[in-house]
Amino acid sequence: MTYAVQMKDLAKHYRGFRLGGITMDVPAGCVTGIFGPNGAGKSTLVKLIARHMAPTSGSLTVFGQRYEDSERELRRRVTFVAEEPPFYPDKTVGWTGRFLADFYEDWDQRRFSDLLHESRIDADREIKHLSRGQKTLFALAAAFAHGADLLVLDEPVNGLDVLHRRDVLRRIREFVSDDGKAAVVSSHVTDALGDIADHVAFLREGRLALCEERDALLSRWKLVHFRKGALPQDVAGALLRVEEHALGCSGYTDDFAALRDRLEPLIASGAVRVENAGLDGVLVALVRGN
Amino acid sequence: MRALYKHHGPAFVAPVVNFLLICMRTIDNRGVFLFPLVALLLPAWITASVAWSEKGESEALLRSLPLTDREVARSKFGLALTGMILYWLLITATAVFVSLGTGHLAANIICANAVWSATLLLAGLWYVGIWSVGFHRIVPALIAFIAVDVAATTALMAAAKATRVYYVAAFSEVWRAPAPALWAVPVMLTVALLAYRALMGVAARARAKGVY
Repeated sequence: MTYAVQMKDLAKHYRGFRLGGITMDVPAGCVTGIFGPNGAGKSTLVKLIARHMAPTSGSLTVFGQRYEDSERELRRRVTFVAEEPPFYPDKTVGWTGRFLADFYEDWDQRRFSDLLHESRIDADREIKHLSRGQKTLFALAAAFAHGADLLVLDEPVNGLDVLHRRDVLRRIREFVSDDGKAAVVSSHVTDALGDIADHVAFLREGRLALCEERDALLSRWKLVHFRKGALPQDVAGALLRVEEHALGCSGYTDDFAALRDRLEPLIASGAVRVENAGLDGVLVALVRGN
Repeated sequence: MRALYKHHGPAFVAPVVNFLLICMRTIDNRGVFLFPLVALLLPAWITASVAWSEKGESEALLRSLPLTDREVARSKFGLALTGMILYWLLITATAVFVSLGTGHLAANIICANAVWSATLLLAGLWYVGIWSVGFHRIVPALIAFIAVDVAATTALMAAAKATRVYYVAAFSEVWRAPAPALWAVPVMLTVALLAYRALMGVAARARAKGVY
């Protein structure tokens, strides 16, 4: 497997916040979702990946290269789309396109214009008059036009209406369909991005809580519903975030395979019911835990 | 890079026109003694240009472009230097025009270049500050500097005109003293340009640290 981004013990400290011990790999050809509650360090991590800030310690390579050695090359290959894309607000879409084109030798103006047209973005409109969704689509169009290899997005669907959200997610998926490209997307909401993420990473209080393939993660994590007292003590004790409801109890397991044999008779008897935890469930269990 | 020059150029070139009007008025008034005070406005003008340019800057956008910190620093310092070269032409020409036949030519030329050299370094220092602590934290200092410089210079000019001795006698005494030799000018300019170049390196390192 080839990796778009590799991080080892990456850390960033600033007043009142510490992101630390981040060791993870972002595979090429995939969308990697970085999830976590507000203040977990997601934006800091994606800014480190896009080199919008320098790490305090640790190593980070993008396509095998360090920013320290190949800054210009990597800045050409990496596109960062902030939550509020930072174009000059008083300039028009067309002007901004020409401004960006000046920095990229292989700028594909036809592709850029087509994508703007598809997104119904008028070239004569000023950036400040675009909606947040349109600004994100504009930034994505620019990434396609200059042939970026790694797309790094910070909360791209936050506050978007359902139509723009679908367009943005479709574009991100389209981006990684090209060979060797990758996308890293941070979000505090898992529902929309969870569907397009092939790999997921969860941050909690500035630490990496887990990082793995989404399907493998979802097959491990299950939400177990059970009647009070129906589960053996050790099984109940192994569950995370056990809650009592009017109709019984529920808790999360992060290793369903280990419990399957013991739960199957109980499932058959109707005392226990198991469902997929979903990324939201995993996030809640990780953050709130026991 | 060309796009950055085009985008930020007006912030450094447009105020030159404004300064030109002040210089023309000084020449028109034969303000041989007022000239040093006019030159003192230069730091405020370049500070305003830096503030204007950086106010509309998008640091996040710059960091998204395939530019190294050194290249960004070079383009911003290049812009400021372009503006400063225009100011140099202006104040040198003004110094010559107001001083012709007065015996104060050398003194005014040296004064113009001393202020110009200090102003060039000031422009570099503003960038070091902006990239070290962030533009929004530097804004109060930029505004305060412009206000103090313009107010002080205006007050000095008003006092000079009111007393018709072109400010205090002591100042006139300095002006009557033998002027420093003109060869001091290229030395001053060379030192200023070398120091400016060194400041550019410091500014690029400040950017690379990314303390925003």
